Amino acid sequence: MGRFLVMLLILCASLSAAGGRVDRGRDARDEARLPMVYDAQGRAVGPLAFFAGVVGVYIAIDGEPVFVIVDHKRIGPSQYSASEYEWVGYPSVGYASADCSGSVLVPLSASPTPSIAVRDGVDVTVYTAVEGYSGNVHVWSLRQTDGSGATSCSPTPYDQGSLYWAVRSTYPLTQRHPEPLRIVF
Amino acid sequence: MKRFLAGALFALYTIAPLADDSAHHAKHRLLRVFDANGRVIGNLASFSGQNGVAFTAGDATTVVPITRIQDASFHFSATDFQWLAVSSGQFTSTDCSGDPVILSAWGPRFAIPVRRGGEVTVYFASAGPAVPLTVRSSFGGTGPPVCNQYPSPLTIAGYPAAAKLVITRDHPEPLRIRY
Repeated sequence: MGRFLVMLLILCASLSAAGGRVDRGRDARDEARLPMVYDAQGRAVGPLAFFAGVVGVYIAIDGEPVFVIVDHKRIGPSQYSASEYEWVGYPSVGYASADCSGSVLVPLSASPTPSIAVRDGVDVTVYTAVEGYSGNVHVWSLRQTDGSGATSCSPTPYDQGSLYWAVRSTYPLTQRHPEPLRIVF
Repeated sequence: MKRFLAGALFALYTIAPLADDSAHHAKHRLLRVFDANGRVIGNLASFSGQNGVAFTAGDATTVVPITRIQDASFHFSATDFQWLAVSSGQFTSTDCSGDPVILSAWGPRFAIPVRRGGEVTVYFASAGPAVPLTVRSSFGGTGPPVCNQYPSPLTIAGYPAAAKLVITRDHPEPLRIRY
């Protein structure tokens, strides 16, 4: 019985070692070793990616790829963390009303599926666009966020809806992937 | 007891590489670009701030950029993309026949996608530096794409085409980016 146990252990050890070797070999050949974006809970969000020259990560919403921008976490007006990252909200959010009330609209944006990340304090929400062409909505006001994080609402001089879509889905980004984010190889 | 121990150890040994795999090699699906027939063209690539698909002809690889489709009233599609191609070209021939000369200095291998007669063809620059080329005709600009013969030949610096691929033949537009 003792001999059997030893044999079994040797067999298992060699099998798992061989498995590891094969795995590393496959990774080296077929997959680029990409820097990964991790959330505050240590869960991998996805590989760091570029879309239209911007740095971010893809998130599947309704099975569709949505690109969300990340950047160094802002600590002060022009101060950034060297190591921690955060989701980047759009600095300008369009509304159909003249006073930034009602539903957010989705602008033409750097993402396979048009989307907008909206920051409200520590909460970031992603809104994705309905299918079809832009322009079936009206935009009469913009809520703008300045460098210090202060927001203000201003009416637009003309309807900017031709570059916007209605919302298809709402995704609670910071609930699913809390900040701060880290980028690690 | 021994049997239990052996079973437990066996279980641990078989699970160990799996756990290691999920922790360090988390698999994430690649984004691909699909044609109008739902067939994969290639992985979504990024080069110098442009999204596109990589194509290779011989030893030359380039990236053909894609752009979101706009309709006649300048509204954008939420889902559909097309090749970002020029609708103009200059030729060493007098009647716009043959390959256009390549003036673009963009791509892993310099290349230019040209939209003409319902087809998009990507022309790959020959290896090496730009050379003086004598051009005698051109098409494109504003209005319908008609060929204009130059009153007198013009010498410009460019790259002769080393290879070409008609990318809409196998992969009709519109294109989509999906998992």
